[in-house]
Amino acid sequence: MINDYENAEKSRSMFTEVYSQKRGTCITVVLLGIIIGIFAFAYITFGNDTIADSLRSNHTLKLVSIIIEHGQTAPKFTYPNDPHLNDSRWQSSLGELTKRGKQNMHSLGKFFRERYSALLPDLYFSSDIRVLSTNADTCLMSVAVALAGLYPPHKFQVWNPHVLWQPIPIKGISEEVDKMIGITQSCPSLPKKKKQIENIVTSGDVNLPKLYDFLSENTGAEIRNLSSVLALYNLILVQDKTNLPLPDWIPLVYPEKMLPYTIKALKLETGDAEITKLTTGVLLEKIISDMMKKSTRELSTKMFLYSGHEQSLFNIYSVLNGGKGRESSIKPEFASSVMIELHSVEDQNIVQAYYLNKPGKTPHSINITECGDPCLLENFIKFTKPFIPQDWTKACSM
Amino acid sequence: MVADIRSEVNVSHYEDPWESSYGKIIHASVLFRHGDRSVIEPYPTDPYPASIWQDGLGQLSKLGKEHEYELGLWLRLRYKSVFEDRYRHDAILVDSSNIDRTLMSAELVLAAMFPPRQEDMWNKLNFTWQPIPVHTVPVEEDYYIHQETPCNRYDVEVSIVNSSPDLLAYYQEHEGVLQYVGKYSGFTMTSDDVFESFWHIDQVHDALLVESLNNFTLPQWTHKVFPHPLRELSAFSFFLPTYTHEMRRLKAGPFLGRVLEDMRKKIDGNFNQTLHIYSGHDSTIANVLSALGQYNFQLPPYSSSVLFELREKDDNYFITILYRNSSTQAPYLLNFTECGGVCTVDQFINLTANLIPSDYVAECNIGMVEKFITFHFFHIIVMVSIAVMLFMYGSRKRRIQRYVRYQRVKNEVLKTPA
Repeated sequence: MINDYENAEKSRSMFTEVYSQKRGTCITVVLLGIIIGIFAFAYITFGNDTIADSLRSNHTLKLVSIIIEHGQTAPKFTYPNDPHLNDSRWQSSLGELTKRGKQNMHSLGKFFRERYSALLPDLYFSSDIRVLSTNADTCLMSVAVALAGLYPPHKFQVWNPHVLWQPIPIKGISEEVDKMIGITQSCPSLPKKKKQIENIVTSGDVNLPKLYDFLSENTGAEIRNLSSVLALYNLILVQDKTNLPLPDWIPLVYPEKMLPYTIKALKLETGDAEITKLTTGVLLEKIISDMMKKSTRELSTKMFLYSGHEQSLFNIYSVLNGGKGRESSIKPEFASSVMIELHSVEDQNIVQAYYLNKPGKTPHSINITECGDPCLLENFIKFTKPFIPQDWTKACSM
Repeated sequence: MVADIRSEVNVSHYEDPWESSYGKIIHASVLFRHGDRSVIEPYPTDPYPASIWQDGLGQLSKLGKEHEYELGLWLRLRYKSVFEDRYRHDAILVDSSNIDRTLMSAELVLAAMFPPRQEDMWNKLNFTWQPIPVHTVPVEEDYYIHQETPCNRYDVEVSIVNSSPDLLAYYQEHEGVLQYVGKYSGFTMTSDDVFESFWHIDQVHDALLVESLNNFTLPQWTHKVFPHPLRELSAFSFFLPTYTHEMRRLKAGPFLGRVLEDMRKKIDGNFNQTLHIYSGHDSTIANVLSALGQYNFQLPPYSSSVLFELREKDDNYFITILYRNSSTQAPYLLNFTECGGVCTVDQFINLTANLIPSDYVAECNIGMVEKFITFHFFHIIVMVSIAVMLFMYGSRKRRIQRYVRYQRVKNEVLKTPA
């Protein structure tokens, strides 16, 4: 024992002797290590990245407003030279939701269930969620299937063991009075305003008249403005996705040549602050007022679901994104969605937005450029102010 | 009871007793009430507060879901051959009032009526449900189903009825019960507003009914009046909104107009629709029955329905209207003095001709001046008399002043030296 002890003593003194010169270096390294460690720890804890991290967790999430585009539909229209004009599969159901459309919407609902499981309990309570839809069949049906995915009945809410589905109210808005989701018939001044913006956007574009000529000649239809290019593009898209053989002229312009113009067409409705007030302002105002009520705990609802069209979704995306950067050029696919989340982190209300262009993929975060990072609710309110109409009805009749 | 419904539903074929004489059903408009629900609003002294209803106030209960589904199975059996056992978006139109329970009820009825056929299956798990759109408009514009849109002319009509001798007599006849209920429930009952008083009666009765259906113990005071005579008084309160012809026109007219319009289109041809489904309330059913002169002073139960069936036989068109107010008994065929149980389309059009406003919104405002004059006749006379008296007094005063001035001027002229 003693021997052992002596040996140990000896070896220690040897150790000290041999490494004494290096002790200084050693301490420096350790100290530096600790300091770097502290910085790194502090950064991880208090740095910006972590706020984003914690935001991704469900515990800070208080409210989410989701705008969805309906699932795949049979084409809404067709053109005189369309080889699939009389295709029997679409004969009785122009513009109706297809089977694939239903499947996609169901997956989207399941995705929401997974993503928002901490926010929304498995059991359905009417006070948790409010659902609003345009009165179009496709939007009503799409959101109904999404809800079937979001709220499969559980426990005592199973009312029929043979039908694992439960009813959830979907409030509709008729087209004539829709200020919020599908503004087409309800705002008389919109077409004029849109035309003005289209004239500005397309002036000096020498390629566009050529494209119009080409498309009109081949389709046998009047394709003379951006909206009809968009409609045609969406028609071809559905036919393409259904693996129908396409006429030879289509690959010459689809998708590359047509795509930039379809996006231009979609951008018209948020072309300037004035038109944005008409097309997106009321929905934006609603989303903001809900977030404000939530931040003062005046609201029990946790999720708002708005079921609309491609344009409804694009408009809100475009406002959030500020129309800047490469990411501003999205072409929403069927069943895509924009999620606007309100988080509460240490008494701060933070807005986060995500875009999911197809169920099954990972949503990407929308950079709310004008709002800062993190995007505080008060900044969000400030930057959207120019888009909120004072009197929508009046603005729409001017 | 549930077993009975099931056995009725399990019959695989519906025998239509009128088919041989009046032809097959080619179009049907179906109006039904939502299923069992929670209390809409507890009365002021209600021992069971709003918070006791976990799903919230006025929400469809699980039993309500089952009953609506059963209604759907029954409707499916009855109309399967009409809609050719499949959902087609151009053949089926569904409208609902914009209230959670009616929207949900519509979805449940549709789930039972249109389970996906093999080729409609969209989910690998053989999910036996498919989405079907339920259309709705905001309550403020819903004069078809919800029927509570603001209407000036209707309000004038209500205020006239409110002070009519026969309604006051009815109120006085039941004043004892009304005051008793008012005292214990915390409502003020007054003959100044009979409509309001009966509305309170309905609210109390509904709360007690729902609470008793949920096996809640009711307060001692209710034993004297619940279920009788509260049930009868409540049934009367459902008649009040359609008390006069004008009121029937403004409440149920737009709905009946729509039913007829669909039938007309169907008869004219080129109309794919075979079923128009309306999801509404007890008040919708009571108003519609009352407008047709068929309200039986019984509260329309949950999941009850009114069926308007258009039949065709050798280019002749007939209409049968049925009221289904029990899940265990066959629906009643409504009988009209003009045409009995089966009316020709022309007979039915004549029957309802005076009930359908051509322009509801305009009619709500038309004739407001005349109505105002009739209603305020006495006030107007008094006001006019006062105005005339004031004018006469004023003109007399002016005459005197003029005379005085004249005299003064005359005197001054006389005083002036020549």
